[in-house]
Amino acid sequence: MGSIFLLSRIFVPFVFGACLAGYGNRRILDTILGPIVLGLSVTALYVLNEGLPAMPPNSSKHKLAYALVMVPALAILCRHLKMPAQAFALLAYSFTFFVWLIERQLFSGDLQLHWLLPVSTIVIFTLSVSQNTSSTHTAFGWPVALVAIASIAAAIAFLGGFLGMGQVLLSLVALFGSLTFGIYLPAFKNQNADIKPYTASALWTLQCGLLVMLVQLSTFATNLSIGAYLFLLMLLGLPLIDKKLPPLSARIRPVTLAAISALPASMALFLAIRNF
Amino acid sequence: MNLLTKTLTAASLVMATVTPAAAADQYTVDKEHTWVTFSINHAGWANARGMLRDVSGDITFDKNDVTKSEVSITIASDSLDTNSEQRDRDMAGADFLNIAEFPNITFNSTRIEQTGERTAMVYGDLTIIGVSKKVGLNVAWNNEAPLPWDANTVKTGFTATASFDGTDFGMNKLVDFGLGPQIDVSIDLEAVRN
Repeated sequence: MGSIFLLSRIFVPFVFGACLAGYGNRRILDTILGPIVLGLSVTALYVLNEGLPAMPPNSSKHKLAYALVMVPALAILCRHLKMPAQAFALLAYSFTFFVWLIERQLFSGDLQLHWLLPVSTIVIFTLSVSQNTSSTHTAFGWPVALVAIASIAAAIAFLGGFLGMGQVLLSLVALFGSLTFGIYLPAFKNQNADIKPYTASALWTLQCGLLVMLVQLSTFATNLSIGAYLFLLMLLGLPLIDKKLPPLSARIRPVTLAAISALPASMALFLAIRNF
Repeated sequence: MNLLTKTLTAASLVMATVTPAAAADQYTVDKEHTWVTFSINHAGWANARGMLRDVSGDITFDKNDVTKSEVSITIASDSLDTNSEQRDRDMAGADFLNIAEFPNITFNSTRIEQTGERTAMVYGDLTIIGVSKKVGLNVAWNNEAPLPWDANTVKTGFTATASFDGTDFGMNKLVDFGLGPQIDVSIDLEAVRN
C-alpha cells in the first residue's frame, strides 16, 4: 500500500508538474490554459486523495472539492485585474468559502474561538499576495513559499489529526516542487538565463488552491498546534523578504529563500511534534 | 333469557367490537444501561474495539404486532471511547466521524420483520456523518420486568447486532489506515416504559 501511495500521490504529481514546467518551454503554463490546467490538477489531486464529492456536498471535505473546481474560472476572470484587486478577489473568495464551511455551526449559534485561525490565515495570506508584483527578482519568492508552506502544512496536518489533508498537501508539495524546479532549471544550467516567473493568473490559481486548504486545515484539525500554525503563517513573509533581498544570481536566490524559510519551518515542525 | 340478560349480552358484544386493542407501549432508552460497542479489523492484526457512551432514544414496542413497532436512537459522536485519547481525537476529526459538523449518529426504523418468537430484523436509516443508508439490525427481545425495588418502573431489554461498510458512509480513510472497512456493531439496550 505504501508503494502505491508514493506512486499515485507523490510521483505522479511530481512528474506531471515537471512536464508542465518543461513542455515546450512552458507552452501551456504561460497561456490562458495555465490556470485551467493548474487548477484542475490541484482539484484532481484532491479527488485522488479524498474521493469524489457528493452532490450536493454535505460535508466540508465535499465543499472543498467544489471550491477547488471554481478556482481556475475565477483565476481567468481575475487575470485582467491589477493588485490589490486580485488580492481582494482572493480574500472575498476564501472568506466566502470559510463561511460556507461553517454554515451549520453558524446557524446553530455554535461559534468557535479557534475560527480566528482560519480568518487570520485569510487576512495574512491575502496581505502577502497584495504585495506581489511581477519582477524577475521575485520569480522565486512565491514558488518557494508555496512549496515551504505546503510542506509544513502537510506535517502539521498529519501531526494535528487531519490525515486526509496531510495526504493532499503532500501531493501538492510534489506538484509545487516540480513546478518550482522547472522555473529553477534554466538557472541551474546557466546562471545568466532568463528566469520566467509564473503568470499572475497561474500564480493566483496556486495561491487560492493552497489558501482554501489552509482554511480547511485550521478549521477542522482536531489537534492543531497553534504555535506551529503561527510559524507556518510566517512563511507567507518569504515573498516580501524576496523583494528586499539584494540582487543574487538565479542559482543562489531560491536556495537563499529556502534557507531563510528553514527557521520558521523548523520551529513549526518542532512545535507540531511536541503537540502530537 | 330475560330482557336484562339479553340487553347485557348485546351491550358486551357491541363493546367487544368497538373497544380498541391495547396500544403499543412507549419506552425511553436508559442511557446508563445501554452499551453500543463496535469492532473493526485493524490491518489484520486484531479487531480494534470501542464503544459509544452517550445513547438516547425512544422505542414504541407493540408486543401484539412487532411489525408496528418503531425505534429512534441518537448517539453523540463525541462519546466515542476506543481506550486511547489520541485515537478518539483522530476518530473525531474530519477524516472519520467529523463531529464538528455531525455531532450525532442516528438510527430511525422504517420496517420491522418478525423472524422468531422474540427476534426480529429491524430495518432503518442509519445516518453517520450526514450520510444515510439502510441498515438491518438483528434484534432479540430479552425480557421485560419491573425493577425489584420499584414495581412501578418497568424495563425492557434488547440485544442487537449489525454489520456495515464504513466507506458506504463516506469514511474512505478507513481503508487508507488499515481499518475495516467492515464495522460490526453490538448493542445491549435497556429501556424504561413511560
